[in-house]
Amino acid sequence: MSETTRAGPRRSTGISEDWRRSAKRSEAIARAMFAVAVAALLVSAATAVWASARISEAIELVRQSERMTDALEAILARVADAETGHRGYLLTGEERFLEPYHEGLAQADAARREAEALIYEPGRRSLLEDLEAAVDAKIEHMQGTVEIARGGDMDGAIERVRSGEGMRLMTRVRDAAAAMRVDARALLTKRAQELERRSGAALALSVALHALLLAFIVGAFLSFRRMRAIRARLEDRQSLMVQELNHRVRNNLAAMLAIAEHSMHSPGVEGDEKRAACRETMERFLDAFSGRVRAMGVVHTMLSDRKWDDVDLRELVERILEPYRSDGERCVEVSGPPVRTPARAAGPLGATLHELATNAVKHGALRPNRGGDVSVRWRVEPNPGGPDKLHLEWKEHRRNGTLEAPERQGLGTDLILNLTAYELGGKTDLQFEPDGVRCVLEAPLEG
Amino acid sequence: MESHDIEGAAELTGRRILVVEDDYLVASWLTGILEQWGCRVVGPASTVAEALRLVEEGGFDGAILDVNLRGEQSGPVAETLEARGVPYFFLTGYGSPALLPEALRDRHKLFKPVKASELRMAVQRRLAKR
Repeated sequence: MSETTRAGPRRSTGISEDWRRSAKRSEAIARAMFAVAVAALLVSAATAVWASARISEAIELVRQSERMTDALEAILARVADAETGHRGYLLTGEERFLEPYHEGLAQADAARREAEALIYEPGRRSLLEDLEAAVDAKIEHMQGTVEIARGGDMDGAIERVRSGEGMRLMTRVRDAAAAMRVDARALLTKRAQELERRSGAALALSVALHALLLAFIVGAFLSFRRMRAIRARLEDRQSLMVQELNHRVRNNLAAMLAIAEHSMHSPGVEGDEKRAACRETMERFLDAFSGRVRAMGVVHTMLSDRKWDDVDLRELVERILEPYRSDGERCVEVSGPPVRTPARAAGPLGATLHELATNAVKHGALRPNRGGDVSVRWRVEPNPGGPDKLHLEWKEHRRNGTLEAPERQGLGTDLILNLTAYELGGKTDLQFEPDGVRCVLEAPLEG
Repeated sequence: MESHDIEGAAELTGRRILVVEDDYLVASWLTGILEQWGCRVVGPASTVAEALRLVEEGGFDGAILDVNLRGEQSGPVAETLEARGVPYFFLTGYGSPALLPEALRDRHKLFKPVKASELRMAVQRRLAKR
C-alpha cells in the first residue's frame, strides 16, 4: 500500500501526450513571437530616432533659408539706403546726406558676409557671386559719382546719374537677389519633398511594425488562452485519474477479500475430511485478514477523500473503531483536541488502533458479554526544535477478571509495538495492567 | 515454507542481506522469510539516511532496496552499493522506473507484491556470495 498511496500518478500517457505536445508547440510559438516582437520594437525605436534627427535637420534648413532671405533683403535695403543717401548728396551738395550713404555701404557689407556664411552648398556660391558682383558694380558706380561730385563737378555727377547706368546696376542687384531667393525657395521645396517622402516611409514602417506588434499581442493572448485551456484539461484528466486510481485501490482491496474467501472455500485447498478440522483455523485467519484489509480500506478512503492531505485524528479513530462502537453494551470513549494527522501517519496509526481494538475484542475490554470500557485520549505535545508530538493513550477498563500478559506475541501485538516506531520514528509503550491493557503511542506530527 | 525451501538451502545459509524498506509489514515479512531461508538480515532500514549508515558499516553480501523510502528515493543507496561492488536488486511498487536516476533504471527489479518463490530466486541469482 505504501508506494501506491503516497505518490499520485506522475506521468500520464495517451491523450494527454497529445495535449502535452500541443502545449509545447504553443510555448514555442509564443517564444518565437516574443523574439520577433522584441526585434520589431527595436526597429521601431531606431526609426523614431532616425525620424527625429531628420525633423531637426529640416527645421535647421527652414531656419537657414529664412536667414538667407533676411540677409538678401538686408543687402537690398542697405544698397537702396546708400543710393538714397548719395542721391540726396547730389541734389543738395550737403555732406550730411553722405552719412546714410556710408552707413548703408557698411551694413550692406555685413549682410553680404552673413549671406556668404549661410551658403551651405558649393553649387550655390555662383549665384551669390553674381549678386556680389552686381552689388560691387553698383557700389563702385555710386562711389565714382560721389568722387566726381566731391571733385567739384556736380553737374558731371548728376549727368552720370541721368545716364541711367545707376538704375540699371540697381536692377541688376535686385534681379540677382531675386534669383537667389527663388533658388533658396526651390531648394527648400525640394528638401521638404524629400523629407516628406522619407517620413512617409518611416510612418509606413512604423505602422507596419505596430501592426506586427498588435498581431503578436493577439497571438500571445490566444496562445496563453490555449495553454490555459490545455492545463485545465490536463488537471481535469489528472484528477480523473486520481479518482480512478482510488476507486481501483478500493476495488482491489474488496477483490482481495473475495479472493481470500473463495480460496478458503475452494475444494482444492481443503480436502473433505480435513475441512471440518481446518474450518475454525481458516475462519480465524479470514477474520483477522479481512479486518486488517478493512482498516487499510478505511484509511485509504479517508486519505483519498482528503486528496492525500492531513486527516482529522478524531475522525480516523472513530472510523477505525466504528465496528466496535455500534454495540450498545460496549463503550469506547474518544476524547482529545482536533489534530491534523499527516497523511503519512494515518496508515500506521489506523492499523495500530485496529490491532488494539481486535485484541480487545479477543482478550480485553471489548469481549462480547464480559466486556468493559475503552478510553482513547490524546494530546499534542510541543517539541522544541522539531515537529509537535502526538501523545495517544489507549486504556481498557475491564468490568471483571484481571488481565495477564499473553504468553506469545502474535502479529497484532507485533504491529502495535513496532509499526509506529518503524514507519513514523515514534514510540510505543504497551502495558498489561491488571484492569486492562494500556498502550501509549507517541509519534511526530510531520508530513 | 514450500517444497523448494529445502533444496538450495545451503547456498543461502549464512548469507548476509541488507533490507531497505519503509513499510513495516513488508520489512518484517522480508526479514522473517530471509531468516527462514538461513540468511542473516542486516537492518531493516526504513530511511535513506539509515540505509547509507548501514552501507557504510558494511558486513553484508547483498541488498534488497525499496525505491521510495518515506518520500525519498533510494538512488543514493544504490549508487553507493554500485561503487562498492555490492550486488543488490530493487523491490518496488512502481511500474515505471522514471523515478530512478537514469543510470539505475535498467537494474534488476522485482515488483510488489512479490511471491516468496520469486523473491527466493532473485536472492539466489542476484545476491551471490563473493
